[in-house]
Amino acid sequence: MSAMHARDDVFAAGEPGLAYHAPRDLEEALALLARYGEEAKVLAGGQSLLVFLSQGLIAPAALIGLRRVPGLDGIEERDGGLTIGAMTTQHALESDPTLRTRYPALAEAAQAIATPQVRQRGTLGGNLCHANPTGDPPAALIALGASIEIVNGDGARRVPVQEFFRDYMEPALQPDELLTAVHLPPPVGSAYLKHRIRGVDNAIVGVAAAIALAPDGTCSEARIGLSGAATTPLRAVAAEAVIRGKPLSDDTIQPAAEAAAQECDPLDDTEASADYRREMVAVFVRRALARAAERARQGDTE
Amino acid sequence: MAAPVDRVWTFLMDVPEMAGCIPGASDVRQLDATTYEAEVKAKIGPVSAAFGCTIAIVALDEAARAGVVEVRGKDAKIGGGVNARMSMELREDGGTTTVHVGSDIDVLGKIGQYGHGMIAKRAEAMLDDFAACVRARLES
Amino acid sequence: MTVSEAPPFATVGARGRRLDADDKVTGRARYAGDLILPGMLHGVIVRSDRPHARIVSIDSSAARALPGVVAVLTAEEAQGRFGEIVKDQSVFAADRVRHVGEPVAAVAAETAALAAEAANLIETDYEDLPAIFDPIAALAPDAPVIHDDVASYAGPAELIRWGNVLAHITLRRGDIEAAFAGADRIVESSYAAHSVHQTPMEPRAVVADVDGRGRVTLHSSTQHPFGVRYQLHEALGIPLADIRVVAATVGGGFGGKLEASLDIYAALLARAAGRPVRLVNTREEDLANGNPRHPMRFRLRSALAADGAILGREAHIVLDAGAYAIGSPLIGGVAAMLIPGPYRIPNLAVDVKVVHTNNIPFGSYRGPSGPQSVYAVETHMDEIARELGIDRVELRLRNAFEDGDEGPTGQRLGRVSLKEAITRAAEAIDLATPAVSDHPNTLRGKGLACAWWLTTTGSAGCGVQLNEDGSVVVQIGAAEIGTGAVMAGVAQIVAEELGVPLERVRIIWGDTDATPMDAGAQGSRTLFNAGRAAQTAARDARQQLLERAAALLEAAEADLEIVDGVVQVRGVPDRGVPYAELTAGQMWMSEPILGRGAFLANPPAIALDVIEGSVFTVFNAPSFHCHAAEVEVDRETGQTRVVDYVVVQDAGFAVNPTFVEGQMQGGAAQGIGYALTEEIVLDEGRMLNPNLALYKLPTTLDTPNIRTVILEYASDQGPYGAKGVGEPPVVLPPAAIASAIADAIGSPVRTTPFTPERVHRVIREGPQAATKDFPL
Repeated sequence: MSAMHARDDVFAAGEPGLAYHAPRDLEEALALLARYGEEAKVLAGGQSLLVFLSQGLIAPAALIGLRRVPGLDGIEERDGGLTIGAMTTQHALESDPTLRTRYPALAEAAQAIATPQVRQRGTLGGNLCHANPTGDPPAALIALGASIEIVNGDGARRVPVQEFFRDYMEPALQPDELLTAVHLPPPVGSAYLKHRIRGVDNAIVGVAAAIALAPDGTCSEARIGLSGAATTPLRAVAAEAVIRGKPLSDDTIQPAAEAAAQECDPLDDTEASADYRREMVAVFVRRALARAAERARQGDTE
Repeated sequence: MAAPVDRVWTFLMDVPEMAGCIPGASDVRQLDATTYEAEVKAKIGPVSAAFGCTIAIVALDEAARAGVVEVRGKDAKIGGGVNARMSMELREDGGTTTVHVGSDIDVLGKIGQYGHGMIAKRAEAMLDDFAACVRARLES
Repeated sequence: MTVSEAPPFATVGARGRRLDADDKVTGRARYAGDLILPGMLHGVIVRSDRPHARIVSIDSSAARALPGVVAVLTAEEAQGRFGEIVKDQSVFAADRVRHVGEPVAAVAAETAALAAEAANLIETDYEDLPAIFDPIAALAPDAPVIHDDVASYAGPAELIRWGNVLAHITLRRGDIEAAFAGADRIVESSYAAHSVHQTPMEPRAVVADVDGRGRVTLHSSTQHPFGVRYQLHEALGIPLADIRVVAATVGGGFGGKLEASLDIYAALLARAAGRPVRLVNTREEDLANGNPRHPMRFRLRSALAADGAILGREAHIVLDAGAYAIGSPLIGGVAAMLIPGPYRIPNLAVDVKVVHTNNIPFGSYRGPSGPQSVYAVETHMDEIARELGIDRVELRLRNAFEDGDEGPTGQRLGRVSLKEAITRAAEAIDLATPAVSDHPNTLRGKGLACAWWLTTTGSAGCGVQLNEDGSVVVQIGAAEIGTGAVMAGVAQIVAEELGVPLERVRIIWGDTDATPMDAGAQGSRTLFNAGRAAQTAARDARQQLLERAAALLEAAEADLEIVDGVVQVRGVPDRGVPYAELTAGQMWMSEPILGRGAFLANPPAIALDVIEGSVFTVFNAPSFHCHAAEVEVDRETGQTRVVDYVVVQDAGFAVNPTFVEGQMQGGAAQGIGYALTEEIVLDEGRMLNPNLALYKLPTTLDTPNIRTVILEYASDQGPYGAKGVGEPPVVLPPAAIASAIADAIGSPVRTTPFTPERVHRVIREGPQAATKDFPL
């Protein structure tokens, strides 16, 4: 806690040309957002924002820190699903028993982020608003069918998570809006697998899969979220369609994996070529579907 | 492009006019016969850059309908720049024109480190937008 | 000298604590970038953004006009040539730039932000010239020539150079044609090895101060204070006596801080401004403008007898030097010595071409040319073993150097630890038992690699003074760059020789005004050379103490012994005198006790006719090594994880086993980074990944437990028989890991690094020609 306050104090003391606000409630935060518009950046855990700031890539007029706004963190069961506050840390996600047993894809995605130090401070909301196409929670939330709660001075709205990622590192969020929570529907069998070069790296490819089984063992619902597969986190709808309503076996999973490789459009960079990423999408969709199916069969969701 | 080669050529050689199709370009000013200045804004994720650009036509072959343009831009705020060299060659084929574009774009400094994969993709997208804009202007 | 001391020793050989440990772990250690001097300005270097271009004009008027800007310098203000081996570098590019990042101007201003703003206002108009980035292509007769006449630069007479070739080194032994004519089998293969950056925790940093007469004092993060002083003198024409270089605490060097880099510009700016100037690289500047490891290409051909004896080897090596020479001609010579490996090969024909391109200049990195060359040679050895159907260990043992053998240039080897190293490493990893994976997605493999390495010579000096209370101050010119060679090793040696506890010893090091000459922390040389100078100096001081005590105790010197800082008559403990009593009167009543130690190692003699064109011809105090690895490879992704790793290394004598093991583990970790994750990615000479998110330094998550076995085959010149230990451990991991991967997947990987994508491709498509193959 002392480190956290020290950081707040640094900003409170004032970088030249950078105002720091620590609103005490949501209303005050929204008023500040409305006042500054494009000129303000919201500071959650700071694990992405501070990199951009210290590199001089962005120069906002103000930072609006959310740490003192009550009610933005925590994991709560609601309507058979779960509501997760935007300020919930990745460490809280990876260590939460409910998530680990009922929504393992999200716990695994949180655990796959960077280092323990980063996860202690980094938040779910901050991660989503960073909208990194190689991030981990976005893929997991896509697979879990999450929706995102967005608030502004006029009220709240909900959007399906995959609609939140508008473009490369661009969330579908207006300057006066705040992401406050993530809602998860009732759980199904899920898994997140990540392929990366070093233990601290972003994904070359990350795949989250969620599977619900009909009583006859066929796949009644399937959702697949991809990381590293395009300029935004991607939902692999074609791959989902291949297995939906079908029994889950190598005969259906392999074509689904190939469909996912077809529908993605990965970046070509110093970490991996687009061709390699595409091949790895197929490998990891296959592995993630198999693991999610296994969990669905074991009823690991309860 | 469903337009005659002369029309396309005239449009592309009219730099202030043509610049209207460059995504993010504004304030085009002519410095001398072959050199122009413009401001080009580009945004990748949260990072917005405003490049003060010099655009120079470094080679021009009216007869072959071919030319080479060099663009050098600097963003003073972030500390980065862009060096681009674009070659163009027009070919007519029964009233329609094919524009062959070769581009070599280096993004420098902090903006360049952002990840060359994304920058290459964005540059490609800007080129596509440019082409679509030119088509829209000339084909209408 | 003969090593007369019979172990056990009191202090050397023990795991003593280094003198700078407390400051380092508590954050009190003061690095160059921490210094703030009164009136200090902030400097920035303006660099070329073109790989090869003519400078049409440089307009710095807007920068000069900016309020708060104190000095702006370009080639107009500062001429001068310098260079480690050939004098091919200018302080600022005047009419032509040859690589991205070449300094064009420098600015000093009241704040760092102002300096950056001014730098951005300097307009350089370039006219691009044809550039070349591939060293093989640079050898073509019609390739663009990067230096109009390489032979015109002042440099050693040995160098053979033309066109883009700045050094052509040949090693010829025996009758290579007869060897191939008489061979039962011939194995040929080619390899490509990449560039990596030293990436010390602390980027390059310097603060330059200047006095009224223009005398410069540099507080620098350097491995080589005396080298930096000489390069400044050479580049700027300042008399040596008007330059003082003080090494600040150094946060790692790994070869990257041997050359004067920022130092030159900080000194120039400080003299121009008449005020102190601070120049500190950002991580990006450090990564993109350093002197990283050389990319190298290898084509190896070996003539073999059916029983595995290597009859002869022909080799063509190309080393990409980048745009300027720096240490490359010498490093090419090191590569030539590594090509035979630590094996008896009677017939050799090795050609090393050191070639200019428009890439950034490549330079010294811990074990320069080592990881690349050993990877190529040892992978070639594995390919030979496979081809001949001989076990990998058996092939190596059959050809390994033995005691008293001759090295490739005819040097006589002393005792050779190689066979013991191979046996111990193979046992440790249980090479005889095939690796088995317990998961269907993964393959497992084991491998090993051997190498020999050197201990660099060069002078070292040391003074040892006793204070009035009997405590000890050591003045030594060597640089402590984090290894512990000075702050543990030298301290222990002085304590040992003087018979005092380590706590009584203090050291001042690396200050060109206050400490004697030293040839710098390079080539695994510090403890070997500076330790020997310190040993001599301590013995000198001890002798002075004995003489004084003999007079005082009215005893013969031969009858005295030293126990815990007390000189006493042997066998009569109550007839003794503590050091403090011997030195208490030394301000007015007696001469100060002042020991002097100077050392220059004497390298082994060579056969001069076998190597040509090289300024490097011998492995002084050689050591022999073997590493073994076990890896796990994901058969579908190519991802490789090192699950077990063993370093067996000859240290000669481990003055402090903790820090020898530290070198072995740290070096192996760095070598594993080379093998698996790290790579400088250049696109037309421009680094695409100049930050630590994209440049993939391994973290603790990626580094296995590294087991260490120290062998002690004493050298005849190092203190207590010690040999250099710093570089060898980084040299072998790419080879050992390549061997293990090949064992796992059944194909050699002929290009580094072994990224998931590359290994995946070999798994799917089989052995690949080195990606950038070249004709003989």
